[in-house]
Amino acid sequence: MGYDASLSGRMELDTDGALVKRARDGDYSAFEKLFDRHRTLVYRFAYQMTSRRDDAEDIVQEAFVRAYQNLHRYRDEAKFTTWLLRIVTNLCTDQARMSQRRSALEQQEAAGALDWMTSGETEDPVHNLEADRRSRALKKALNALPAHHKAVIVLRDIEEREYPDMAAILGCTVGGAKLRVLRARRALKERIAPLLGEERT
Amino acid sequence: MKAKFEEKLAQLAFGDLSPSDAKKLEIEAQSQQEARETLRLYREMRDGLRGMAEVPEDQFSKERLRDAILKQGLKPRPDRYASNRSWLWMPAVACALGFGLVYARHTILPKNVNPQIVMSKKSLMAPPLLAVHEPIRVADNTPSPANSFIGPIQSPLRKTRTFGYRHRPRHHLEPNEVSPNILAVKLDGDDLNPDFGGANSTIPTSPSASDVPPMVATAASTGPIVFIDQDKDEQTGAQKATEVGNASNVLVGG
Amino acid sequence: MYWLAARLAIALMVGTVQADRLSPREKAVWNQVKPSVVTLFENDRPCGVAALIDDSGYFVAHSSGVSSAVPAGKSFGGKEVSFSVVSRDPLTQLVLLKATDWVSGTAKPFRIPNEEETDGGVILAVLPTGPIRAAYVSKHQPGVLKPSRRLVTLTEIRFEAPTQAVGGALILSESGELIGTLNATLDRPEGLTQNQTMNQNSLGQNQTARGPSIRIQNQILNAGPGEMTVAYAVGPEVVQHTLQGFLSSKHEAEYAMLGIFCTNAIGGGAYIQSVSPNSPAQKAGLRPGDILLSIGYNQIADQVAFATVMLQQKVGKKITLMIKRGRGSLLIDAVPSKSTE
Repeated sequence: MGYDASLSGRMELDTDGALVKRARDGDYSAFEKLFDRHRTLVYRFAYQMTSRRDDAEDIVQEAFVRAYQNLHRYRDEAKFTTWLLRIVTNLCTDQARMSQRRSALEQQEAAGALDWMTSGETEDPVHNLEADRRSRALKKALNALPAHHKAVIVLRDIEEREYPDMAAILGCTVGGAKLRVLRARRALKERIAPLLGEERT
Repeated sequence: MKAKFEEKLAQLAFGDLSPSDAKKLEIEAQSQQEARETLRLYREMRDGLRGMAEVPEDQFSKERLRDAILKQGLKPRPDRYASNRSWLWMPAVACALGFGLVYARHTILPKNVNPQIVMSKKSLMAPPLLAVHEPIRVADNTPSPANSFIGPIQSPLRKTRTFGYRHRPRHHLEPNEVSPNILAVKLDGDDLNPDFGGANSTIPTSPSASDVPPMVATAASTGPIVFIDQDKDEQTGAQKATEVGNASNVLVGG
Repeated sequence: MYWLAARLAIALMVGTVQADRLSPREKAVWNQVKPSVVTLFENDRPCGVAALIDDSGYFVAHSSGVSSAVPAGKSFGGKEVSFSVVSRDPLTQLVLLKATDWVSGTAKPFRIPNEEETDGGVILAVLPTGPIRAAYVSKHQPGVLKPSRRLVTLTEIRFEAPTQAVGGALILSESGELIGTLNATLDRPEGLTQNQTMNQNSLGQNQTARGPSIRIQNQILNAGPGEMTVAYAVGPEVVQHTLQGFLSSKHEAEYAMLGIFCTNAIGGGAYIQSVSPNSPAQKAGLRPGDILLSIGYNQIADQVAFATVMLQQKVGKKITLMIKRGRGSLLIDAVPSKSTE
């Protein structure tokens, strides 16, 4: 009985909510545990949004700094990961809006493709060529999308988040999230169709 | 093709339809050339996007996060009292103005003195010194819009009185040995004042002073502070209190 | 608030208020709380007052009235009560007493309001001989308690100086709630009467009695039938914390301490002037010259924020301190210990 109680107590200690509470109470190491636990999630999303490792890492840093600074605003009714992704989504959207400074989109894509290629499989050169062609077209179309559409596509179709989760992240209803996904996919399709056509010719 | 029909095709391609609806729509789409093509395109998109789920590994470290947090510090948080009771300042200001007017009147017309409005400087010390904050419960309960809740926190800042006090460091200190409790050490000089040593040097400003707005609205006040001694006043039987008009050199323990 | 003091002084001048005379409303309040107050005796001489804070017989009094380990008391109804000392809080000087053979339901325990609930106005100071009327001047007077040098808010009150000692009197709000106990009285510098001291304090050091209003105030205060006493009680927030500790299972008020002494740092933060030997701060590696930027999850903008945040910390609970040392910044873990003074 005592063992069970201590076990459940330990599990309780390790939940996101408990770690947030400890961090708010002044134990920074609890926040580092949250960072360890969710950094990949944040980084993945940031990478999909920026297509660059260094940009994604900057966003990870900013997201966790802001999460720490705003920890007192986090309310337990939302999942911590949802709250975190909300921060990241907003950061990525803001960053995309501001990235006029790096208007050379081609440069971004080239760097993205380089990252992509270095991490991709290389066993079948012919297959890779075809896959790469499509992937490049898709990436190009995705990168050309407005940030709000892109965020929706990344959440739903790349990271495969459920609609209720997305609704919480985007701060809208489930119906609203579905509608945003439909619009984003349509926008992507309209961009990719001519690109695939170009590639084919 | 109708927009509604295309939406359905997209839902079919991405697996958002129920099995029965999906089956019906699949049959319908196969009979139309344009619909078939659209469905194929959406499916290709879906596969392509799922294929993008792989990302290169990050090289982000805990140390980098610590550095960033140390550099940026904590942002100011609204005082729950200040935010809840900011309206209370309005009557206070009105009273102060009223007092000013009446005082001016009395200065001009010395014979019409109404003793009830006699006030000392002290009564105008409005802001509470130690408004106790409960950081965890600061957040309001209304859901915030998606794009606004992570922005820098605006006013009202916590209003805490400070003593408008300046001092100089007494000795030069170097960071030598690192205690086992020390989690991170950051030594970059670019955001700090250069000198922290000589007799005429000043204490370096904190990074937060330059990088983030100050947390506390510094309503510099020279209001008196009371020291309570352990010694008893023989006449009153209570501890002795002494009042210091100038709060400089007040050391606070904790 | 201050005009209340002035009004009281005026009332004193015209003789409408006598310190030992209460209004019908004040009398009603006093009669209501009287069963919950016990006078403490030492060698058959009244020396303090205790207030019931828990139905099971826990009383609180100021240490000035509790020199014996087993104080004796008498209720205002004449019933004798004997006590044992359970706990003493060095910060507030409050003492927790337990009445032996206390019958539950005998009297209603005092309610202790927080700072927000105390509105000010005319209040009662309960001495061993009974209550006197006092004026509530301020509930935000900053004060430093020696020897710990904790910065707390004080409640400032004024009343016509009675003939007997006032130290340790219970301070009740106008609705009969327990605000605290009278900790200290303003010390008079040599050669000045209490009235003159008060005038000087209230007018500021650089201000002489120039304006007609100020002249009137001087006349009023100097012409009163008795001297005015300026007194301080530790603020309700700190008193509440202490009493919560007293009524906890440990029957002890705990204040967390790092063992550092700070002043304001230019540009924000608390500048550490000294670190006590063998203190948690020293064990954690803090040094004089460090600038404290945050404690736990609270940013430290100045020494006031430092004092405030430290009053909220818990003994034995690890906190991460963010400090600036020289050109670098550090995160340091520290475990506050129990303050002993």
